[in-house]
Amino acid sequence: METEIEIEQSVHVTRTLAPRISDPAAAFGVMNRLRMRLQAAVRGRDQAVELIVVALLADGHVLLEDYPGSGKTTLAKALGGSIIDDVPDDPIVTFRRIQFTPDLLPSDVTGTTIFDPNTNTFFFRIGPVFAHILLADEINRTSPKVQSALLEAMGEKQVTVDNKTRALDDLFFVIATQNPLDLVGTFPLPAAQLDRFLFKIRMTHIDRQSELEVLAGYKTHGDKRLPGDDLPRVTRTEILDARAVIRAVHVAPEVQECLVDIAGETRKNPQILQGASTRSLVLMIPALQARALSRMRSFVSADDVEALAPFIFAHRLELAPGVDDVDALIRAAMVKPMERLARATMAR
Amino acid sequence: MSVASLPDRPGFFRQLLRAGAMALAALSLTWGTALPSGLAAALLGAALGVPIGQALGRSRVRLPVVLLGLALFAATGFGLAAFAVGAVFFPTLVGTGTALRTAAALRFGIAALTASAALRSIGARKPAAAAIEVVALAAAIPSVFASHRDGIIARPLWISDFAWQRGIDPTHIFLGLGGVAIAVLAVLLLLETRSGRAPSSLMALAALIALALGVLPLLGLPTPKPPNDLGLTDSADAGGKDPLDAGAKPTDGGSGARGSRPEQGDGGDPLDGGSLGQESDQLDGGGGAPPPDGGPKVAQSEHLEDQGSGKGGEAPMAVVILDDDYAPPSGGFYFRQEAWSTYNGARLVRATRGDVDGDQIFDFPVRSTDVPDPPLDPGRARVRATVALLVEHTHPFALESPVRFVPAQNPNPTRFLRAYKFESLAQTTPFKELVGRKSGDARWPEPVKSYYLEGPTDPRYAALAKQIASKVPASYTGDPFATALTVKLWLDDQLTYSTKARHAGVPDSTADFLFGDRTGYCVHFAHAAVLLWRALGIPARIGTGYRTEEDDRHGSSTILIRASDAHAWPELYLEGIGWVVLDIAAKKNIDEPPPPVDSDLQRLLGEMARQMPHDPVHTALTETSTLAFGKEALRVLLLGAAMTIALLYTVKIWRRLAPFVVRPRRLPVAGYRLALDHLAEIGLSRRLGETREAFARRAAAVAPSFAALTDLHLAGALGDPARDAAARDELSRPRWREGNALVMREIRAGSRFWRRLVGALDPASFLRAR
Repeated sequence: METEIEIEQSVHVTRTLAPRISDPAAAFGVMNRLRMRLQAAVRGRDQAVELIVVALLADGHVLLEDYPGSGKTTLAKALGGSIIDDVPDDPIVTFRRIQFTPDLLPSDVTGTTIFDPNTNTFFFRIGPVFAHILLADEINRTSPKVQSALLEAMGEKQVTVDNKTRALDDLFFVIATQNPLDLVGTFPLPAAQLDRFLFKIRMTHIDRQSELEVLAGYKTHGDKRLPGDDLPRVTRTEILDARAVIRAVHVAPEVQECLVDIAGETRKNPQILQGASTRSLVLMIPALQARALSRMRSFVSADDVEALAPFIFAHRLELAPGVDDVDALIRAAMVKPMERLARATMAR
Repeated sequence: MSVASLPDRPGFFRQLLRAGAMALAALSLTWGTALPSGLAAALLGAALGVPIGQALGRSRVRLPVVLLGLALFAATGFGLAAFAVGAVFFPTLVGTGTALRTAAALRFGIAALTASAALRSIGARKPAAAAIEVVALAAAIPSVFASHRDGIIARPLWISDFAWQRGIDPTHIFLGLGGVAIAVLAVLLLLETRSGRAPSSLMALAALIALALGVLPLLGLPTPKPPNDLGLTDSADAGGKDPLDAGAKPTDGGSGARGSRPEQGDGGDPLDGGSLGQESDQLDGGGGAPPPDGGPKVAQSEHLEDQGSGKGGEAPMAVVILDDDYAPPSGGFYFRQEAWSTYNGARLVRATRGDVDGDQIFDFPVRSTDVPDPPLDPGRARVRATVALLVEHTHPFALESPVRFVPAQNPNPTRFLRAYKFESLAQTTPFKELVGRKSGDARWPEPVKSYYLEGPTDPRYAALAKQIASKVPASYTGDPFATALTVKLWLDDQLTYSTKARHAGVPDSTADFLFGDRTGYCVHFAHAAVLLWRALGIPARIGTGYRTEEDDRHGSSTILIRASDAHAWPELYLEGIGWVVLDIAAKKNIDEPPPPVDSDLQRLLGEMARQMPHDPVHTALTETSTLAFGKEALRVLLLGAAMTIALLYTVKIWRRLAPFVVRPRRLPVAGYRLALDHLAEIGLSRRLGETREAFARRAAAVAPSFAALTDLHLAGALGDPARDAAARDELSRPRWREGNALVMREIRAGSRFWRRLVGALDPASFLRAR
C-alpha cells in the first residue's frame, strides 16, 4: 500500500504526501483528534466515542445497541467525516451506510457484476462495503444470507462475488446498530457473527446537559454540517500507522494471566453456559493496547482490562436460562483475577 | 452502558441471617415481658424489619426522612394499640382478651419492626453504621443471661440445673455462650466488610477469642456474693454497742433442734454410768443441730462482721479438706476463730491482755507459725487439714485446738480467696473420762486464774449456779466437769432456741435472757453457760467460729462451711486436757431447721480446693486445670502479643524507610508502598478486586497526586522491563521522594489530626495497605 501512496495524488484534495507516524505521541495525537471531532459531533457519548476510537485503532468492529434517534448515525457519519481519504483515486470512499431490511440481498452489500452493453463486457460494480467506515443500520433486520455476506467482509476484509475475491481496504471499519427492544421480524445475530464485533456498546440516554447542548448545536449549525467540523482530521494512512504503533505497547505477562483467568472464571460459573472464547482474548490485546495508548501509557494496565472487559465479553457469553444480568456476572468473574493482578504488581 | 455503582445487593443468605439474628434479639428482649401474642409479633416484626429497612436504605429517600417516617409509623401503631384497649366498642366487639392480645401484638410487633428497620436502613446507607446494628444485637441477646450477674452462677435456672446435673460448672457454659456470642458477632462484622476477608481480620478474631480466654484467669471468675437475707440482719453496726443484741442474727448450731437425736434419758442423774455414755453422745451431739437459717456470723464482735454478718444462709464460706481422718466425739467439728474470755461488765469479749488465750493466732500465716500456747497433748489427736476461703475472713480459723498454721498455695485463685493449712490437736477423750480432773491449770499465775473466773456482780447468777450445782449426784460433788455437765444439761432442758429473741436494749442481756424467757440463740446460751460455770469457780470462756455437723460431710474428707454454720459455744479448762468444748443443745427449738448441705456443691468445691491431680477424668472436668492452663496461655499470649506488636512496628518502620535505601529497581514497589501505608493510616485502602487506578481515583479526594505515584508504580510493575533504565521515570529516587512528600502534604491537609495519630500508632495499619 505504501507504494501506492507515493504515486500521483488527486489534485482536488492534496498534493502533499500524507505524513507518516511512528512514535506513540503521534499515534496518541491521531486518537485524540478523532476523539475531539467525535465528541464535538455527538454530545454526552464520551464513553462510546472512546470505545469506537479504540476499536478503530485495534482493527475491530463495533455493534451499537440503542434506540432510534440516539445519535448512532451521527456518530458514524462524524467518524467518516473525520477521515481524509489520502488515496482518492481508488474507488473506495470514506463513509457508506446500509439500511438493512428483510428484502435486502447480498449483492446490495457487496456489489454485483453488471453487463455493459457498450463494451460487451461484465464489470464489477462495487457495493457499500467498499468504504472505510460502514454504518450497518439495524443489522438484525436482514436475512442471515445478507448477514453472512457482511460476515466475510468483516472477518477477512474481502468480498467474494461470482467466485472472484476482491480485497477491501485495510481501513475497513463497521459500525453496526440494532434496536434492543423492537425485535418483531428480526433475525438475531448468531454467535459467530456477534464474535466478529470487538465491542458491543449498549448506549443509554444522554444526560440533560448534553441534550441541551445538542439542541443548541442544532440551532447554530442547522442540519447541514456537524458541529466540530472545523477540528483537525486524520488521514487514512495515519490511522494505519497508528495501528502499527499500538502493537508496541507492552503487555506484561501478569496482564495476560489476568485475561486468561477472567476467561477461566467465566467458564467456571454455572450461570454461564459458554464462557469467553480464546479468540475474544486475542482480539482484546490490541484493544487494550489502543486504550493504553489513549491514556498515554506505554503498557497495558489493569485499568484498561477493567474498562474494556464488559464490552468485549458481554455479547460473547451464553447465559443460562433465567440469568440476565451479564454485567454483574462479568464483574464477579473479574474480582479475583483483578485482585491477583493488583497484588502481582507489588510482588515484582 | 455505564457500569452503575449501586451498593451491592446483599445475598439472600446474608439477609436471612440478619433477619434471624434480629428475630432472636427481639425474642431475647421481650422474653418474660410480653404475652405470647406479643412475642410472636416481636419475632415477626423484627424479621420483617430487615428487608423493609434494606429496601428503605437502598431507596433514594434521605435517611432522616426514612427515620422520621419510621417514627411516625411507630407512633401510629402505638396509637392504634391504645385505641384497641382504650376505645369501648372494640373490646366489646371482640372480647377483652382478644383486645389485650391485639394491643400487645401491635405494640411489640411495631416496636420490633421499627427498630429493626431503622437499624437496617442506617446500616444499608452507611456501611460503617452497620456496627450499630451488630452492637444492638450484642446487647439484646445476652439480656437473657442478665440474671447471671455478679457471679451468681445459679441463674438462669434451666441452664445451671442442666449443668449441675451433669457435674459441669455452669460458669463454663456461660463462658461458652459468651465465646460463641463473640465469634458470631465477629463473623457478622466480617460479613459487613466489603473488601473481603483479609487474613489479618481472621487473626484478629482468633486473638480476640484467645484474649477473652486468657483474661479470665487474670481477672478471675466473678465471686459469688452471698445474698442478703432480706434485711433480717440489718444492724451489723450495732456490734460494738451492745454485745448480745449486736446486730447480726446469730445462728446457732447449739440449739437442740435435732429431734431425732436420742433425748437425754434422765436429767436428774446425768452422771450415772450408763446414762452418761448416752448423755455424752447426746451432749456432744447437742451442739450439732444444723444451724437454722439466719445470719452467718455470731457477729458479736466487730471482727466477725466483715465476714458477712448481715448476710447469711447457705452461701459457702470456706472449704476444709481433712488430711487426717478424725471423727469428733461430739459429732460436730468446732472451728475456732476467736475466743472471748474478758468480761467487760456486760458480756464476754476478745482478750486484750497477752498472757491469756495463747492458743490462737490472729493473722493469716505467711510462714509456718506455731501457736504461742499450744494445747496439751493427752487425750487429743493430731489432725491436719487445708482450708480454702471463699469469703474474706479477718483471722484464720482452725479445728480446736490448733498448734500450727502453715501457708498453702491457693489451689484455684479464681474461686478461692486464699488457702492455708493448720495442724490441730483435736479433742478425743470421751466425756466420761474427763470426770475427776481438776479445773484450771496449776501453772497459771493468780491473775490468770481469777481472770477466767470474772463475771457479773449480779447475785442471781451465783444463786442459780448454786441451785443447779446442788443437783450434782453426791458421788460427784465438787467435781468440776460433772458440775459443768450438770449446768449444761440443766440449760439444755430449760432453754429455747430462737433466733428471733435478741434481748436487745437492756444493760445485761444475758441476765435478761437467763432470768427471763430463756429464749435465745447460741451467743446467749454460751454466755449463760460460761457465766454460770465461772460463778461455780470453773474457768471458762466462749469460742466462736464455725460448727459443722460430722454427718454433713457424708464420709468425705471435705467439709463445706456455710454462712449459717457460724456459731458460739462455751469452753471450760480442765487440767491436763486444756480447753474442752461443752456445747449447749437446747431441747426446744422454735426455728425451722436449715436446709441440708448441698453435697454436689460440697464435692465440687472440694475438688476445686484439692485440685484432684490424680484423677485425669475429673481433672478434665474441673475448672482448676482449665484455668491453670488459661493462666499459662495468657502469659504466652501476652508475650506473643508483645512480640507481634514489636514485629509489626519493625515492619512498619522498615516500610517507611525502605524507599530511601532500596535499589532503584525496587523503588516502584517501595515508594508506592509508602504512599499506600500513609493512606491506610487514615483509613483509605484498596478494596477487593479494585484496580490500583480505581483506588487512586477514589483516594484523589484526599491525595490527588497519589494517581501519579500509582502510574509510576504500574509503569515499574507492568511496563516493558527492556526499556532504557535511564529513561524510566519510575526508577528515579528524587521523583519518588518528591511524589511521596507531595502525597504526605496532601494527606496532612485532607485529614484530621487524630485520625493520622491513631493511624501512626496503629502497628497493623500497613496490613490494610494492599
